[in-house]
Amino acid sequence: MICTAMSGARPLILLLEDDDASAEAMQIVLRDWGADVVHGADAEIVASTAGSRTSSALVIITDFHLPVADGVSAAKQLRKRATGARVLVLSGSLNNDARRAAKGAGYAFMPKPAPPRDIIAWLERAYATAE
Amino acid sequence: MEGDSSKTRFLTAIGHDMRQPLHALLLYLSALDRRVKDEETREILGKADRAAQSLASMIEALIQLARLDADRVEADVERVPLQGIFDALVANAPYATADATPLYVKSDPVLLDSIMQQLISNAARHGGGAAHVSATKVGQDVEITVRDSGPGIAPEDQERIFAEFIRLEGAPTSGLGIGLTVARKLATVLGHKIHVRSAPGEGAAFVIRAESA
Repeated sequence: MICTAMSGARPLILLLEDDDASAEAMQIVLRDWGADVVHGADAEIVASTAGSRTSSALVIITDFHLPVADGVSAAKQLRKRATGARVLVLSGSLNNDARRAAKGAGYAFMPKPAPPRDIIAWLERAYATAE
Repeated sequence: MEGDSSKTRFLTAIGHDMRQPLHALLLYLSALDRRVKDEETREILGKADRAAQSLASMIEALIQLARLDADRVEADVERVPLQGIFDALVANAPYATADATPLYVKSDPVLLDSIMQQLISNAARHGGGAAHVSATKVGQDVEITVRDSGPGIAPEDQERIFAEFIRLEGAPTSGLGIGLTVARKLATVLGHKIHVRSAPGEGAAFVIRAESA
C-alpha cells in the first residue's frame, strides 16, 4: 500500500518516458501521490507543455534511453529552468552507463523495474527536503 | 563457447525487453491497490503483485547469471552505508526484519543489494518464510548476516547449495534454483566472501564478509 498525505499546492513532476505503458502507469501513481505531472518523451516537449511552471518543478523523473537525448542530458537541460528540481533516473539497461551518468550528475538512480514504493519513498524525501 | 555466447545474448535481450512491461505492470498494480476497497479483491490483488514481483526477481536472477557467466558485471565500489541497504530490503519484503547498524562497507550498493535480495528471497522460500538481517564488525571486515528459521542445512549440502539449479531434497519447487549461485558470483565480483552457517533443525545464517569502510 502506498499512500501519502499532501497539503497545499500540488507539486509539479516532470516525467520523461518514451514507453507508453510505463508513462501512463507512472502518471497514475504520481498523481495518486498528490502531484501534477507533465509528461513527454524529450526535454523540449516537457518544457513546452509545462511552460512557465517548469521552473517550479519539484522533481524530474526520467528514463535513461530516450529518443532524442539520454535522460541525464535531458534532465540537465530542464534543470536550467527547474533549478531546484531533484532528479531520479530510471533505466532497464543492462550495463552501468545509465547509473554512471546519473551518479556523475549527482542524480538518484533506480534500475527498472523499480518497486513503486521505492519511487514514492524517494519522492517523499525530495518533498520533505524541497528548498 | 558459441553456445554460451548465444545464450548470454538471448537472455540479455529478453531481459531488457521484459523489464519495461514489468516496470509498467508493477506501477499499474500499485495504482489499482489504492483504488480497491473490497477485501477479497485486495487479497487477490496482493497475490498478483507478489507473483509479478516474483517474476521480476526470477528474470533479474537469470539476467545476472548470464552476465556473470559472460564476465559482463562491473562493480562501482564506494563507501556503502548498510542502513540504507537494510531499510530498502525491509520496505520491500514484509517478511524481513533488520537490526539498526552504523556500519559501512566497501562495495557496490546495487550489486550488494542484489546479493541481499537473493538471500532474503532464499529465506522466504526455504528458510521458514522469514529473514532477519544484521551486521557485525569483525576485525577490518564487516559480516552481514541473513538468518532464517527454516529446517537448516546439513554440512554435506552447505557448499552444494551454491551450485546452479540445485534444489535440496524436500525443498519447495518454486523458484529457479539459481539465487544462491548469483549471490555467490556477485560476491566474488565484489571481492566479498559468502558462506552459510547451519545445522539441521537450527535454521541457517548466510554470511557476507566485506571490507569495512
